Amino acid sequence: MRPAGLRTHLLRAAVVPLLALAGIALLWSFLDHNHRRETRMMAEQYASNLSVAYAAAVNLHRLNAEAHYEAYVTTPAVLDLLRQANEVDANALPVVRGRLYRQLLPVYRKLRAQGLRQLHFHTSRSESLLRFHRPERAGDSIADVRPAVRMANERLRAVSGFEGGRVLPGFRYIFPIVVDRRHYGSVEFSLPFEEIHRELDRLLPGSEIALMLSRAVTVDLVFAEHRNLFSPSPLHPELLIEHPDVSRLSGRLADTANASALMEQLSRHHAVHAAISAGSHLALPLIIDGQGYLVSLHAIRDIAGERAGFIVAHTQAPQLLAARASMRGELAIGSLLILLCAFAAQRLLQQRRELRLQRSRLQAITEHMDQGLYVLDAEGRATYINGAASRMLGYTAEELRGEIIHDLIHNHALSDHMPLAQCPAFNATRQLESFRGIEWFVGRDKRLFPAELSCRPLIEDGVHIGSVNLFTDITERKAREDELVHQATTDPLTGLANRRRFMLEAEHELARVQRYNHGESTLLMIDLDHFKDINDKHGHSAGDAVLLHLADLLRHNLRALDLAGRYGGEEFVILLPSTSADEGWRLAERLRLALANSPTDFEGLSIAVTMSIGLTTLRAGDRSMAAVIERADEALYSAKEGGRNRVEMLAAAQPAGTNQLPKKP
Amino acid sequence: MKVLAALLLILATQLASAEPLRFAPLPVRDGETLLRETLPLLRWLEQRTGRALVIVQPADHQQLMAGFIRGDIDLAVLGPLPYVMLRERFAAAEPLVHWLEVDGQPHYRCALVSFAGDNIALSTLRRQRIALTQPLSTCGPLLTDALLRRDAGFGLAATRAEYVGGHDSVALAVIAGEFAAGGMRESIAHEYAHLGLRIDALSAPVPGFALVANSERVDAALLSVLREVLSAASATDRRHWGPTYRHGARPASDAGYEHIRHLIADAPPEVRP
Repeated sequence: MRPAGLRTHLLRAAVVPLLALAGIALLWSFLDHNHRRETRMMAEQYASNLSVAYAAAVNLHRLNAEAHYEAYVTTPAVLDLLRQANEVDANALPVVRGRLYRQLLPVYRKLRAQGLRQLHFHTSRSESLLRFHRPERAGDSIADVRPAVRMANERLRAVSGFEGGRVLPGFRYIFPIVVDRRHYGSVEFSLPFEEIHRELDRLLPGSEIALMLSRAVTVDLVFAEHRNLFSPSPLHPELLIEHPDVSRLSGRLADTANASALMEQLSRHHAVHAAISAGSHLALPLIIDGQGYLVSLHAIRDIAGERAGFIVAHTQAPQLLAARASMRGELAIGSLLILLCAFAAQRLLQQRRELRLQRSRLQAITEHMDQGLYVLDAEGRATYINGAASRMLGYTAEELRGEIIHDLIHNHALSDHMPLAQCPAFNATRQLESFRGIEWFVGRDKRLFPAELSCRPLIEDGVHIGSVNLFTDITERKAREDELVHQATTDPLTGLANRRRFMLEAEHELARVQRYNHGESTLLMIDLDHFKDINDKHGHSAGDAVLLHLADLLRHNLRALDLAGRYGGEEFVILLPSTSADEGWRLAERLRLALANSPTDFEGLSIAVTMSIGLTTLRAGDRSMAAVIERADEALYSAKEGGRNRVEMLAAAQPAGTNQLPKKP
Repeated sequence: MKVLAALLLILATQLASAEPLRFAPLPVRDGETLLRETLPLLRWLEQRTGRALVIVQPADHQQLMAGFIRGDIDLAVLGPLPYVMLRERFAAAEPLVHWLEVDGQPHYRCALVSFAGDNIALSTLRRQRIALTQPLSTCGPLLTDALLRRDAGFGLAATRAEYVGGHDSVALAVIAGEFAAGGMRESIAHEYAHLGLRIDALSAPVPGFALVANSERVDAALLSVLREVLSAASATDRRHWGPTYRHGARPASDAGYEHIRHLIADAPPEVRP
C-alpha cells in the first residue's frame, strides 16, 4: 500500500474509535456535571439546614435571656443595688458590688447549671461592674472592645449576637437597665458556643459542629493571660478554636482518623480558602477514604457586622457514595453501549466498504464479460443489466431496469407472444430450479437471434427473490453448426442428400409407416446407364456434369417433401413419402423420359444419357430400410437386365391382396 | 551564658521526644482559673526545655500528694505546708523554685477575711461558720487557727469551720454571705477587695509557693534546666502567666521550710495536719 493510501486507510480506521472516545468523553462530562450538581444540591441543602438551625438556636437563647432578664434582674432588690452602684462613691462601691454578687449568686449558679457562661453587669459608662464568671476582675472599661455593650448603653435597647470579649467570645444578649428614665447600665447574659452547639446537635443529629473564630474576636481582644486559650484551627491558621483543654468541642474536631483526614482535606481545599478569605458561606460535598461527607461553612458576623468566623459542620453522607456509584455505573453502561455501537458501526462500515469493493469488482467483471447478464426480481422486473446484454439487445440498462424484460426480449420458438407466467425459464427459477436452454431473443431492432440462456434462482431464507440470467448470442455458432450439418448430410457434388442422411430420413419414414400402418411410401433407385463409358470417353468432368444435370432434373421434378440422395457413384435414391406405387411409377417414368430427352451440355458437347430405375414401396412389414433398398436394387437390376432406360418395380412381400403392382407402360 | 544556652539547646533537643511532663498546679483555685493561669507558663516551658508538658488537676492536696508519690505527677506547685507533709513521706520531692509574690518576695502571708458589708468583729466569730481551703493548705486550718488564737482569743475549734476548696472559693463564699469569715492567702484576698472582701488579720510571712519536682522521675539535668530558666525568666516572658507565677521565681531549697515545721509542732492536735 502506498503511503498516501495507508494514511487514508489509517484515518478511516481511526474515525469511529475517535468518535467513540469523544462520545465517552461527552457522556462522562454530562454525567459528571449532573453528579456534581446533585451532590452540590445535597451540600447546599445541608448548609441550608445548618443556617436555619443556627438561627433557631440563637433565637431560642435570646428568648431565654429575655426571660432571665425579666425574672432576675428587674427585681426591686437588684435594681436598688444597681442604683446604689451608680450613686455611691468609690470607697462604698465594693460593698455594693459584693451585695449584688451575694444577691444574684444563687441565680448565677442556677443559670450556670443551665449552660450560661457569663453574667456580667456593666456601668452606664460601659465599664465592667461585676463579672460573675470572673468576679476578681472589675472596673475595667470595655467600651472599646465590646461594641455591643456600648451600643446597648448608648441606644438603650437590647442587643444580641456573637461578639468577642475580654475573657472569651460568646453569644451575647445585652439588656440596658433603665428605671424611671435613669440609666443604671446594662446586664449581659453570655453563652458559650457549647450551648448553641447543644441546640444544633439536637436539630442536626449526626453532625459534627465546631466554631472557628477570627483573630479579631479572640486573641486581639481577650485579656493577655487568656490568649493561650486559643489555638489555630485545623482548617486555616487565621481561624482559631478554643483550646481543647477548655472546650470539649475543639477536641472533637480531629479526634478520629476520619475527622483528621477530613480537616486535612478541607485545609488544602481552594474553595475553603476562598470562602474564608471572602467571609462567605460554603457548602461542599467530599469523599475521603471511601467516606462521604457534607461540609458546610456558615459565616458568622459579630454584632457590629464584622467577620467573626465560621460555624463549621460536617456530617457523614453515604448518599454521596451512592450517587457516585450510580454515576460510575451509568458511565460504565453508557461507555459500553457506545463501544458496542462503535464496534457495530466499524463492522458495518467495513462491510459496506467490502460490499462496495465487491460490487465494484463484480460490476467490472459483468461489464467486461461477453455474456449478457440481467438480474430479475421475483416479479420478473429487471434490476440489473450488464453492458453486453445492453449491446446485444439494443436497449440501454436504464430502459430495461424495472421493466418486465420477458415481454420485451423473449420470443419462444419464434411463436406469438408467450406470457411471463408461461415462460419456462422464469417458472424454473420461481420453483427454485436452474434453467439452461437455447431461446430466441428479439432485439430493439426486431432482430431475432438465438441465445443460449442460463438462469439461476436468487434465494433468500428459502424464498425466491429473483433470478440471475446469463445469455450468449449464438447466431454465428448456430450458423456454423447448420453448415456442418449440411456438409455432413449433403453430397458435395450434386448438393443432394448423401447416403447417410438419406438412410436416416428413410428410416424415419419407415418408422412412420410402421407406426401408422396405413398408406405407403415409395422408394426409387436410379442408376445411370453406361456412365462408365462417358467417363472413359469424355473424362470425369463430363461425368460430373452429367451427375449434376441429373441432380438438377430431380430437384426440379420432385415435391418439397420428397428426398433425393446420391447413393454412391452414379446411383441415386428417391424417397417419396405418402406416395403409392402407381404414383411413384408415373413419377419415375417422367423422370426417365426427362433425362432421356435432355442431353447434358458439356464444353460444347451434348452428352445423351439414360437411366434405369428400380421401384419399391415401404411397408409396415419391412424390418429395415436395408431390406427396402435391397428390394429396390433388385428392381433396378431387373431394369438393367431388361435393356436399361426403363423402370422396374418389385413389390415388398405383403399379405395377399396388398401388393398390387402397377402395370408396366 | 552562651555555654549554658548551648547546653540548654542540646538538652532540649534530647528531651524533645520524651514523654510529656505532668504538671499539677495548686489545687486551691477553681479548675478553669488554674487552667487559664497555668497554660501560658507551660507553653513557655515547652519552648525552653523542648519537653511537652500537660496539666493534671488533682481535686485536693491529698490526691496531689498521693499522685506525686505514685509517680503520676512529675512537677507540682505546692504551698509550704503541703510540701513539708509531702517531704516527710517522700524524700524525692525536691523544691526547685519559690514563686515570688506581687511584692517580689519569696514568701507570703495568710489572712483572716470577712465581707466589709457584714462588719463582723473577730470576737464574734465563735460558733460562726469559717471557710477554709483544704486541710493541707498552709493558709488552711494551721494558720487560720493561729490567727484566731492570736487576734480573737479562741481557736478554730470554737468555730464551725468547713473546707470549701481553693482560696478564691473562700473569698467568694465569704462575699456571698455563706460564711462569716475565712482563711486564705493575703495576695488572693486583695484580688477580691473590689467586692468588699476585708482583711481582718495577717500572719507572719511563710515560704512562698514552690515548684516541687519528683527527682526520681525527672533527671537532674532537666531539674537544673527548670530551676535555671524559671529563675532567669524576664518580665516579658512572664507577662502572660497567671498571678501565681507572673512575679518571677527564685531557687528554693528544703532548708527554707523550718518555720513551717515549727508551726506544725506548736499547733493543737485538732488542727495539726
